[in-house]
Amino acid sequence: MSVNINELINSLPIDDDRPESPQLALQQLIQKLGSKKVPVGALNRLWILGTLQAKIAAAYLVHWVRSSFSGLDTKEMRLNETHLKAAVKLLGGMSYLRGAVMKVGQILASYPDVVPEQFADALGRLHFEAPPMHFSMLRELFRKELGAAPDEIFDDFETEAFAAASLGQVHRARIKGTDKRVAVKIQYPNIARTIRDDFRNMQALLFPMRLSSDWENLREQFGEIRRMLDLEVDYEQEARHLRAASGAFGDDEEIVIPRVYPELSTKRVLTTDYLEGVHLHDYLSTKPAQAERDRYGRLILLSSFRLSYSHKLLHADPHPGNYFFLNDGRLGLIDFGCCVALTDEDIDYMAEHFPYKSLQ
Amino acid sequence: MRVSQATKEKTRQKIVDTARDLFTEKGFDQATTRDLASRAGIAVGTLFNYFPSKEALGMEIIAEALDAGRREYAALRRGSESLEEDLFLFAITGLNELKPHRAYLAPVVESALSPFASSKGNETGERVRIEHLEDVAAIVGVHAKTGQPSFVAIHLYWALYLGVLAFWSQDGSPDQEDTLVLLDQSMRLFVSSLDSNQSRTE
Repeated sequence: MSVNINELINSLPIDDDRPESPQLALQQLIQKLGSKKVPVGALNRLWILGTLQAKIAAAYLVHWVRSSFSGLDTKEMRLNETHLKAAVKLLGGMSYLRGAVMKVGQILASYPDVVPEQFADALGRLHFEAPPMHFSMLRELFRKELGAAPDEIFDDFETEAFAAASLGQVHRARIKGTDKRVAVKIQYPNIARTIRDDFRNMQALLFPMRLSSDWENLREQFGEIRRMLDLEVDYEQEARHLRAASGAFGDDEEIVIPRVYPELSTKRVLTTDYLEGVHLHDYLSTKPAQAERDRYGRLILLSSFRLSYSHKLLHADPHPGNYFFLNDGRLGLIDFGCCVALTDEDIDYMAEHFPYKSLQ
Repeated sequence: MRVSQATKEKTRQKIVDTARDLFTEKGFDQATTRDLASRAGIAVGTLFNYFPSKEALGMEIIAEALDAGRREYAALRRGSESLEEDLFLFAITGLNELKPHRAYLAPVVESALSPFASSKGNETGERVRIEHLEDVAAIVGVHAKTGQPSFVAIHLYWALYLGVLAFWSQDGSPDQEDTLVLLDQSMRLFVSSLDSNQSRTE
């Protein structure tokens, strides 16, 4: 189950006859933003400066797409799609921006009413895209993080990643001298700082918009994305959440949280047990019986309720890519990068509206 | 005759080793040729017989580090790398060996490897440049479907590589991680320029 940036592009309506340079198209798009009451002068200047700014442009796209796809006639719609396609094409070509593109993609995908359905569908599958860091890059990152190359730390470290995390990629390996299979997640270099810089710049860029009616809403949206990304770039935080969550389930239960190997983990490398299983899409393609589906449905609900009520943890990114249907019939929960600690007040509110007892 | 040549080589190596320690200890700017000569146990005049300037000596140290990097590259290369990765590995192994000398890389590279330096300016610099570019041409040759890179491609590479060196020498990011990103993207850019040239001539 994978989709790459080309599939994403292909899922959009075909280009006009005249081939258009993506750079030109994005530039035009940004110029068009002028009529949308955004600080186009500043954005244009920044655009010329290069890649970091392209990411800001991507963030603008989120807003722009939301505001401009509704209420247009077909011709305008086509034109907008062409611009969007060009922008995605351009951004997709910058491999290190892919983390940001994927994030923007995920956000766009959650607004199916404003992007073409096919496109939203392709964006939704971006969680599984093969990532771009090659082994020689990984070796450098591992030396910085853990003091040795991956093949010195692990046995059978697979040079090809088997999954893309939104801000990194995941490789299979074995704990040295054992049969224990692990998943090793590695973060792109400098992504955490880049995101912080981007948001600072973006806030400055958005400042002239503060009088518009949509300002509060927009600021909240970006603030939320920023908080989410801040959580996701800190793997030590994720390790803490994983450890806290695994305390919620006994060994004899049907829900599994992968164990963390703290001595093989840092802020930017996270080593956990590797779970043998498939994602939702592949699970459903095996055409499981209704009773089986119900059982898994119940496990998904149970896992979420147990974490919330017993451990005050909310898995805030519960998309299908984070559930694993294990070969032995158990449910695996992965990716605790985006987890929120709940307050007693939250719990009370939830208890009132979603009675946990009915599940037990 | 033979002995004299061996002695000469020994003295030369002694000067380079002393300089390496002194530059690391005192910094390139603070280390004087007088310090260097006295620590190596030779006259200042003798020092200049071997190396015309402090920068030339710095270049010698850099050349040795890059030679070590080349050996490291050969040891780490798996053979299954893409061209982008292969070039990245070639450059990064050099940078890793250059790390102890990063603080004085800028003045040395500026005088000995600058694209504006005349080729007669520094023999070692010229040798390093030629060897490096021959290696790059060989790496490209292994991967490319259509022979050797053109002189334009090679000059483009050299401009990118010097740009990475310059950036790295000033990189203030934690553990110079930004250089990894710049190097990776520079190599991708270079390879994509090869690809687009190739498709234009097809």
